[in-house]
Amino acid sequence: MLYRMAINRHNYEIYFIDYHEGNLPPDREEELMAFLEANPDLKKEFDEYSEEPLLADQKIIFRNKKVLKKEESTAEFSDNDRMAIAYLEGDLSADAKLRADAMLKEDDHFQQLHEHYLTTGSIADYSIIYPDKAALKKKSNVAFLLSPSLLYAAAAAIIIFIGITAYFRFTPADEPRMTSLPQRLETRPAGLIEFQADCLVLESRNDQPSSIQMSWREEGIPPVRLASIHPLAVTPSPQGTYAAILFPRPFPVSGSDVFAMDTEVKQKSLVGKIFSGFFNKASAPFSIENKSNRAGKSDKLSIWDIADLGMQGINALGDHDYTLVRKYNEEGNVKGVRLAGE
Amino acid sequence: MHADGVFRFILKNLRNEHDAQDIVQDSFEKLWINHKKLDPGKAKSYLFTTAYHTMIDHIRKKKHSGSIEDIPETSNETFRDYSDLREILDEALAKLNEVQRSVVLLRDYEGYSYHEIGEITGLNESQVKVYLYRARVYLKNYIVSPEHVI
Repeated sequence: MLYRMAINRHNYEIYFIDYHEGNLPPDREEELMAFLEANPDLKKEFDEYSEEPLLADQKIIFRNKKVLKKEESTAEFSDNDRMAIAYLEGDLSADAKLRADAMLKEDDHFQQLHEHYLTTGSIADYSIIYPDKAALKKKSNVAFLLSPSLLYAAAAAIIIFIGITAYFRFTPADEPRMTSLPQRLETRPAGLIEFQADCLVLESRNDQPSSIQMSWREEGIPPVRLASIHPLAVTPSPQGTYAAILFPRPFPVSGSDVFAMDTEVKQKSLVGKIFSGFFNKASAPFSIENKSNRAGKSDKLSIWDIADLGMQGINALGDHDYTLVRKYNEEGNVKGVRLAGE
Repeated sequence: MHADGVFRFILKNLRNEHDAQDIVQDSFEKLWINHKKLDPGKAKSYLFTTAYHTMIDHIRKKKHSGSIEDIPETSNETFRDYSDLREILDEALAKLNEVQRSVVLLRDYEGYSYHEIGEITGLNESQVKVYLYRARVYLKNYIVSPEHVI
């Protein structure tokens, strides 16, 4: 293909190269010689080409050959090694495994090799355990608290919890109280008749004290300035209804009068006032699902039961009579709550 | 919970409990971040993969900063008194490079297949096989060498 055209001054280099490399066919060689005779100016170029080729400078060397070498970590990697490892790893085909099984029985060297490779199997030290697994557990941010309605719910739950705590914490069940509410006594209480009290009326309703501050005194303490208990029944009797009514002027207590027992605590406190102030302003919507509905309550303890209990505690703290009034939607499910009372 | 397995794997590689704990924590953190994208069945593999690559980065950083020293050769301690094969094997494991060691540990500790080890380490199956075979030969030669024979 290269010789499709006869040699001329535009393609003679190909003939020169092929001639010097011994690739020029004999007929073309005659053609080349005839061309050189016809073009003596190219004879010198032809002769120079035939001189020795340029040789590399052998003095230039890469000195740090060591870094180019890659040391094989395996000094010995024979076919037997390969088979022993494959046997251990379960990589052998069925036929190869049969051969290996036979070699294990017959070839002591292979058997020894196999035993050596068996010892290379690492066994986990199960006494090593991660010391602080709790730290790996996801501590998720409670994203739903970002919901405004649930923020209300959370705040209410906290307050209700405090109320419940207060209910049990600050409600002494066995402490005698002065009360304006009539209460039926099954038996005339013994031991409460003789004590004396100092009373200070704080508030009155319809000329009757509705709130008093008083400090109890044990028997033997100097007489009181103010206190009076009036029986509601015409004739006092061990079994009857009694009322404790206080008057805003000193009045000696009769030693035979009976103070009614009242376990419903009526105390005012700063904490109670704070709670009542908060609840007078709070009316929270609830979007959380609750099974309580207008139709009736579940037999299980619901969030509303807990809320009612908490409210009793708050009432005890604040001397109030608040109740949680639930708002219902058209389906009869609770959709919100409002504080009612006073 | 795969914390123990990952911890053992990293601790065996790094031989530094504190660093191993950090890597386990990082791995779990990444798991939590990406858990929605993950198939739950892949959680363990994801943990090992993340821990492995975090460990490799850690080793490279430490080597770069010069805080990891090459393990001194003990071959001159001829006929050292070994009482336990595991002790020798641990020493031999420590002399493998981190990729070979990881491949062996993933295979032996966790029973991963070549394919799974490849997914964890980013190698193809043939490479895993070569690494594993070379590691086995090295371990065998180390264990049976005269100075390590019990």
